[in-house]
Amino acid sequence: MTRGRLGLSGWFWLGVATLYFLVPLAATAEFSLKEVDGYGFSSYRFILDDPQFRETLWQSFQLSLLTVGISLAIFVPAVYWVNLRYPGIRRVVEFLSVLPFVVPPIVLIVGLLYIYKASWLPEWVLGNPRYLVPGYVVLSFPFMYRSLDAAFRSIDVHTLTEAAQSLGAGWTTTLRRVILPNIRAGALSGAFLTLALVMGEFTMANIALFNTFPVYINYVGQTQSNPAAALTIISFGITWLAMVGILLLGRRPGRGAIQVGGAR
Amino acid sequence: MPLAFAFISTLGTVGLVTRWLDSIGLNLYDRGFSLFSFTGLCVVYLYFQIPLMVLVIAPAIDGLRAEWREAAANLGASSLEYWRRVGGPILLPSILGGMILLFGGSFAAYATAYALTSGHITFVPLQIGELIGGNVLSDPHQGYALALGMIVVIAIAMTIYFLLDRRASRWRRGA
Repeated sequence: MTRGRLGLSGWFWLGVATLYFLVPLAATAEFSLKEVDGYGFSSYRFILDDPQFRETLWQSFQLSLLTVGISLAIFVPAVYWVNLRYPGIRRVVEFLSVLPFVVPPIVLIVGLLYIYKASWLPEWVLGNPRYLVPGYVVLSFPFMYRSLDAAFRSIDVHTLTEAAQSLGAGWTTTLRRVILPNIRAGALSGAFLTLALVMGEFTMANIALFNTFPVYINYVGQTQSNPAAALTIISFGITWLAMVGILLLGRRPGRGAIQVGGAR
Repeated sequence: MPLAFAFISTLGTVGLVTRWLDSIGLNLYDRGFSLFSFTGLCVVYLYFQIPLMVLVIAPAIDGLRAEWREAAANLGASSLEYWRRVGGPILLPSILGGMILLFGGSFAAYATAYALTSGHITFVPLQIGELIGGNVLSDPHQGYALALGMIVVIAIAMTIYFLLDRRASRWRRGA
């Protein structure tokens, strides 16, 4: 079997695919630069001058940070514990981690709203966009779990934990000073994925009537078409920055990472 | 969400590709195409579904061993016969599994449909949104019922996916 050679039809299909994936980006860029006559940056200026742009972006960013924080605080110890003590329930946790990925977000928010309605939570909690965060933590579970689990599998959890404990470290010290530096890359990539997820989450925010960044993008899209294209380019830029962050972190091993047990 | 607007700039009524095709004498919208129709949505969904399918199928194609092809050739099979009798059946569970995953993704998609159709075509997720949200027509209980219906459909799809995945993983072992 010949390998590594692309025939004529191979190149043709590669070209078609490339066009299909690049043309919409090029068209958006063209559209965003368009003015009444000629080209210019007026759409970008319009967006950047719109106070709502900054407000909603900041709003979504705060929600992202909160989600990342809570999600790390829950899942780092949880995945650590699964790897250390209960490898038997890994399959169960893995199954659970798929659920938020396959259950439609619209169903999640319907359930969440119902729980909130039935609960004793006061009005001011329901009026605060932060009440979306529990839902976002659930959505982040698959991404967080996968990144963290890959990181935990690549280190020797048992040896590290025993070494830390025989030197007199308690559980919190072990987790903070021994485990965390070793899974740093995994935790950060989970954090970046969660950040991108929350920054782009539309369904839940729209149903719960909160003005987050994606809801604002939709609003601009329904009202002004050229600024919407500029906003699209800006939001792609944000996503790409998050992706580049992951790639860079993935390439560079954590600075404090320790290799235990020789060749592997 | 941004994807919807990227496609409006491309294939919308004044999109780049629409204008370009018009200038060479092919007016898409006169010929019945609309980005804001069912067909239009399919074109947009494909944009995020194709990469997903590639990710799902790639390990299976990697798992096809060169030896199988050589063995088939030794027994006198042509390339077409190899794909029909050996490669195809081995890949089939993975392909079907990928199809079910994509089905789930399109079934649940809300943001893109919301941005493009603004309610002209009714999809289950949009319908639930209408019923639950602060709409005049709101009838939350009907919304809950539709949401449960979605869960049932997804549960059936996922069961089929897991069964197919188990079958497909038989050939993946040690590859």
